[in-house]
Amino acid sequence: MSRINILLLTGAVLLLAACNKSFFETSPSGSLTGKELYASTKNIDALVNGTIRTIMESSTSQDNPGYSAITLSQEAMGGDAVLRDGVYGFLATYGFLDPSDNTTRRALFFWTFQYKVIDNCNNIIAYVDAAAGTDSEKKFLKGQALALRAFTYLNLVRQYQFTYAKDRNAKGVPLYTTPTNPDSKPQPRATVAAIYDQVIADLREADGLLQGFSRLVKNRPNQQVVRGLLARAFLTQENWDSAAVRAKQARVGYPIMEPIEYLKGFNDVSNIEWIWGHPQATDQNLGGASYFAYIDVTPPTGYRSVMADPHFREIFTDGDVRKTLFKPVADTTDPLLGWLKYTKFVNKTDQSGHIVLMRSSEMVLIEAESKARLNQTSDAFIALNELRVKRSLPALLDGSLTQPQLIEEILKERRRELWGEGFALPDILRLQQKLVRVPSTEIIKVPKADGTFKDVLLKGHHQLKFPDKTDFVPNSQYYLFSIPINELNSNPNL
Amino acid sequence: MKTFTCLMTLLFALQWAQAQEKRVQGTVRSGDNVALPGASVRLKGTQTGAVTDASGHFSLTVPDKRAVLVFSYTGFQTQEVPVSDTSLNITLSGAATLNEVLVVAYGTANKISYTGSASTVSAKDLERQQVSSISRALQGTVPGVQSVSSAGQPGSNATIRIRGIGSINASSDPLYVVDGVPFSGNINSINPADIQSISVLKDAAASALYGSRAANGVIIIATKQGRLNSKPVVTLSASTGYSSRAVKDYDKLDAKEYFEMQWEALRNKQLDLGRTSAQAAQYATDNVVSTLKINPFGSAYPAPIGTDGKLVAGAKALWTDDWGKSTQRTGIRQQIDLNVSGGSEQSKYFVSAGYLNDDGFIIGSGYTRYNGRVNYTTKVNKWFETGVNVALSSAKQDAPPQSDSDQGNLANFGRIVSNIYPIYERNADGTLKLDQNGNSVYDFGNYRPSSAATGYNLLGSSVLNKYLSRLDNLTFRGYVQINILENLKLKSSINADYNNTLTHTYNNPILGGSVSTRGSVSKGDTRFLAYTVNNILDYTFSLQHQHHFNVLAGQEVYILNTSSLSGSKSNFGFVGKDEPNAASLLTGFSGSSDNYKLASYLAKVDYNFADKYFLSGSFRRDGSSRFHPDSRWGNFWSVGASWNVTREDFFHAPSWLDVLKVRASYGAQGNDNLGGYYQYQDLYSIYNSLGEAGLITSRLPTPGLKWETNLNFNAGVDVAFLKNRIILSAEYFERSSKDLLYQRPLAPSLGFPAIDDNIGSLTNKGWELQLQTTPVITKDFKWDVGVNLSHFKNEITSLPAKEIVPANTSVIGPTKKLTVGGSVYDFFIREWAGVDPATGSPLWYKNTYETLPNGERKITGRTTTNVYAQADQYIVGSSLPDLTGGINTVLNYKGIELSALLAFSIGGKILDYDRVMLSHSGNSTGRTWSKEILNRWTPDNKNTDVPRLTTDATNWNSASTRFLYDASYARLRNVGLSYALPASWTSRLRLQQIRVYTRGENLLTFYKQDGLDPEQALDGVTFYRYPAQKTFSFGFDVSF
Repeated sequence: MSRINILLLTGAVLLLAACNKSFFETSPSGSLTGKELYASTKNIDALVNGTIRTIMESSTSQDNPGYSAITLSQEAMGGDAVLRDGVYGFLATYGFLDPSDNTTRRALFFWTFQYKVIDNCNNIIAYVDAAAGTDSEKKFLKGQALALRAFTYLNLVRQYQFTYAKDRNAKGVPLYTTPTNPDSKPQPRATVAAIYDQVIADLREADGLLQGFSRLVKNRPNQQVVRGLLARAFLTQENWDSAAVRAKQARVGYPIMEPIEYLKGFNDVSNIEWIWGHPQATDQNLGGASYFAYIDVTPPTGYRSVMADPHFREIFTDGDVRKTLFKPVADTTDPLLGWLKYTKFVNKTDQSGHIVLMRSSEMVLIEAESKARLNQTSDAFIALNELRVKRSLPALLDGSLTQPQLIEEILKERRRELWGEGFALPDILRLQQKLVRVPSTEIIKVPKADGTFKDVLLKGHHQLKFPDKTDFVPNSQYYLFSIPINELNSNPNL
Repeated sequence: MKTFTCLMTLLFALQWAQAQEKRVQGTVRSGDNVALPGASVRLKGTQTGAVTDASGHFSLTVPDKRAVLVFSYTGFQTQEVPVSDTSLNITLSGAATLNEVLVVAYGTANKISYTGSASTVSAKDLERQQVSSISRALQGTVPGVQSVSSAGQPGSNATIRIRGIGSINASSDPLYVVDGVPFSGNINSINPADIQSISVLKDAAASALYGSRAANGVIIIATKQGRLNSKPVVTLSASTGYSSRAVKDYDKLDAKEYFEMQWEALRNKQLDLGRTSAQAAQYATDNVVSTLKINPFGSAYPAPIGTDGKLVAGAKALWTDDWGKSTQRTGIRQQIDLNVSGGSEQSKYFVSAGYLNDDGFIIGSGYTRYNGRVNYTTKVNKWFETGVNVALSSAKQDAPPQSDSDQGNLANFGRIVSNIYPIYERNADGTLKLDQNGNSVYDFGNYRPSSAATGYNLLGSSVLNKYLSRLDNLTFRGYVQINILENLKLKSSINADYNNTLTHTYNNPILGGSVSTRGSVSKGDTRFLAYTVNNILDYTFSLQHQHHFNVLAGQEVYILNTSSLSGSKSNFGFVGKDEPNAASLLTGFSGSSDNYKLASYLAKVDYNFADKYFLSGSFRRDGSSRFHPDSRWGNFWSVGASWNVTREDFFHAPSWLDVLKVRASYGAQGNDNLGGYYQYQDLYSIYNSLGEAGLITSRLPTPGLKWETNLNFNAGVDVAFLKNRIILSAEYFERSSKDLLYQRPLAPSLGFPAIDDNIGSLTNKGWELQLQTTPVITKDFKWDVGVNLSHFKNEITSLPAKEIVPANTSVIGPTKKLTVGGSVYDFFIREWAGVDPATGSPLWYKNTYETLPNGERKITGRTTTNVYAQADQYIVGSSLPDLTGGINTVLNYKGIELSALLAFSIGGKILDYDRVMLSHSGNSTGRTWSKEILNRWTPDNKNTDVPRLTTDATNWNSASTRFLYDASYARLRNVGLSYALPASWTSRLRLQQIRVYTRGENLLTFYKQDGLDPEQALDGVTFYRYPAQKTFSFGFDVSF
């Protein structure tokens, strides 16, 4: 029976082994615990890096490529871009069927990923001081987190409520400034004014903290980015003085690019006037689901969804370098036949085109507009001409336009310069204008098999009303993103 | 250790007296008078017994007085015979009865004394079905089991739900147990031909011994064993079959119809833009070809549709291609199985080899599997036994994209690309374009609109692309058993399931969707090793002849390790090379590993009083690495009782009543599987970016999270009468799940979609009925009919909020809502209100409100809207059926056997997205239209449910009750005809048996909605999946 005893003993040993607490210790290979993360500034820097990637690349479907999905939607909901019909992507957005519908995945995505960014920033801000690391590391990390949080809140408040100038006491979005824990309660919508106060406070703090911060990658917010964000915030608040000052500060060191650069496809952060942009790597670009997959209309295949409105071409004058980018398609073998391509954006051959977030031209236009509105028209002309000459246009003579004409010219210049970068809808909201879409009447000549040509209408706008068949009006609810049904269902405090 | 010593002391103390003895001998035969070698003969109430030899002969010493011998043989009715004579000739009946041996948790049981709820499927039943994965063999055969094969892909598994849906977020899959221990591999790696029996354990008394993993029921698979004292028998079986689509797809428009409809959509849009009807018609005539980018009527008709909206006279489509059929073919299924089994006085063995090749009816899909198995057990001496079961399988599955709205989806492609587009490139006159070798050239349609899959031709690219996975599986079951006393056994076993899955996906650089990246490849490997070590002490004893006990106690450890890596590259320089080596640009590389550990103690007591009263109790304590140390351990238990009324002296059973038995059980099982392995920590996912370290929040800490508990009540009655010609089992059950492992939704503004919590509860209440009858039985003819029915009602009994709409970011979006009182699969979608007869716009319902003086908004009724987004969502029924079941029948006449199995599901709803794909208003240019569109609204056809055409999106094809159908269906799962050659012929050929057969699977489907395959996922949402296939096959079995 001794063998039996050996066996029983073996069993008993296994039994005891099972009781040992360490038996159960397992840890994930793809994650860190909070304790591990917040131990050092080095790890927290990784959280900043991951947060930026979340902004740019988190995605729930092919047509929701991170922040670019917002950019593209804000373009599609404007008047100068036309979404090719029958093409996947932002066609429903162009027709205002989403994100105003709070049950759509678009509505859910926009809200969800932006608030995820907020919570990550809140974590960094809360825990960075206790981590191991130098003071300047902590300062820079906190500054970046504050900048990213302000960037996101500034976007949210302009997406989910009408502009500050319309009603600063309207309900904005929920405001969180501390990290979420299992007991956190969802917050009510803070007023528009409260959100702007937070944004400006965060940016001012970040401005100080990021003094001396030298970034290695252009997707990190530095002091210049912070000032550019302040310029955007002040512009929307119609605080023209501050907007002009911050816009000038923001572009120090980022001179406006030469005309030839404008033709290079807007795909690289090395561009001298990009203040903020997100590089892409081949192992993480979203390929067929990226910004470029929709906005770049030059490849032989792909979605190529975003076309230009023929009336948009009419606001360019000949000689403008940007006008050379328009390509009406008369080639009968081209599936884009009859459309007006605008070839501003061209992806890199490995599909890793970089994404622009802020550049000097926008800043110079903020300065020009602010100065014009302050009736400091000479300064406005100087700022506007700073851009015009770099687009192969003659400088405008000081005084050649009245103040209203000048403002209108500057706003047109914003449309010409910033097409495709997501400014169309925010400007409609900011200026409390109504969307204008006029069907095309332009004719192009298309060759026939027998060598003759036939007249074909160049395609333009095809959604001329809101989905409920009403006309476009200023401050329409359709211009706003909707708080998704998931939030309505689980946040009783809204 | 304490447990063991205590138990040992107790066991050694128990002894019983031996009486005087006598010798009995005899022969055991089956109903057709064939000797049964290896049948078990046991002295009732003891472990004393013998096994028949090669000629079915046995001899045994028994106590003189009142001895009863129990004869049993798996698959045959157990018989009890009082020892009246020293010579006994026994004939065992093969019919299903209430007296059969079941494989149950940690052992076997006789159905007559079993207190739990279990159903079995025998090898014979499995033989009649032709399934590649045994998970598919349970549909319509076992009451209480809902088996849904939502994919027709060869080698894919069915989804199994036992007695309803037990969880909302945690897994609702049953636990598979193979040869005694939980199985962690892919169930499709087991060769159905190797299986002796499948037991489905449904209640607590049956399954609580599996503790934390048993909440959703247990499916026990026992593989075939050899038999002691039998000569080797070789069995060879082979079959070949042909498969095709089981259900015809929706009818689609031809070129003429398509062009006329597109013309109308273009015209209507122009009218909406304010043009005159003449201008609008002219515009449509001028633009219909340039919109669709093709002219199948040839260059002679540059404007094939006139301004009257009709195809111009004389125009005729130059080709009639069918994209749906282009991705289909006749599939071929071949199966060969060979096994050898036998045994000596001490050892028995079963050795098998199998080959299966199942090429599905969708091009590029297929499944090939090689199986090998050795099952060997030996009794070394009186006190030492050992055995191993080793099974190896290597499978190769080609599974091209076959679900989702992806343009590369072969199952859906015919619903994307309209038949107006040619499959092969055409010249302007409609003739085929040929390459320099005279072959036709696939048309990839770079000109097609994007809603018609620009640049895709799946027929052309499928031969160039690769969607391969290779699954290698090794299953090891090894044990040693020490018979400490005759009735006290210690069994220790070591068991391992090893799986390796290699995936290889390649998209070619020259044609199709990956041209822009010059091709892409990804290759990955996942290693999966689970092992279980257990030590079980089993003691059987009797007190005073009438009190019989079986006590079992032991401990078990389960450890799972998974490790995976994968990489992807693009930019191929060469055609015909599909490995990552041939690609030049690395686009991804990742790898991870995880561990999961479970430690358990378990015990069970069965008590039998005079074969009248049976009691059982079980207990298991599990600790799981998934939870925080403070909430790691959970206790699971059951009690059960049954009463064989017919055994009572006071109950004078009428002669026609054979057995009347009632039973009941109650107990608690658990579920720890919420998906993740680290369900208490606060976690930040590694999310590197641009070559630098990156992290992002992923999980909130939940130190208090614990097991989900499933409380399970079962009551049943089993009756057999007319000499077992009619056997009826009826059961009622209530399964209540509490402390549901639930991803409680958070407001997304908190930065997390949900937090894991134990919250909410639900119940599944229902009944099951199984009736097995033999209406006719004569010497040569036998007819069996079986019916089983199941019903359950799934009800959520508490939730953290009154109602929850589960977050769903998929293409379809959320279609369900959870409410207290509702089921887990209640559809919550917009309600279709028809087409506005005045305008042709689609209409949906929305609520109307009034504002009360206190500011509260009150619903006053409802009205309609033509804006989809403004419509309200309503709960419009559940996807869960009211009644499921099956009818099976077997006719035997002189070696000819005709069998059939009809499975059915009645009630429930199905949301048909397949139809949505075929329905648009003219905005999805070039996308296939079903014939339904011909009934669209026009000023002359105002009463219709198909809206007016226009090139704008009207959303009429968005999720609504318009596409919600009754899900009731019945399917002839299999029908078979076989003929076993008479013994006189086979013996002349020195063979034991020859049988030839023909079988059909899924030959008929009865369903209301033509075009839809009714067998869809449990949540009732179709998702453009590979539909079921029907197979027709021939084969033979030979044994010698």
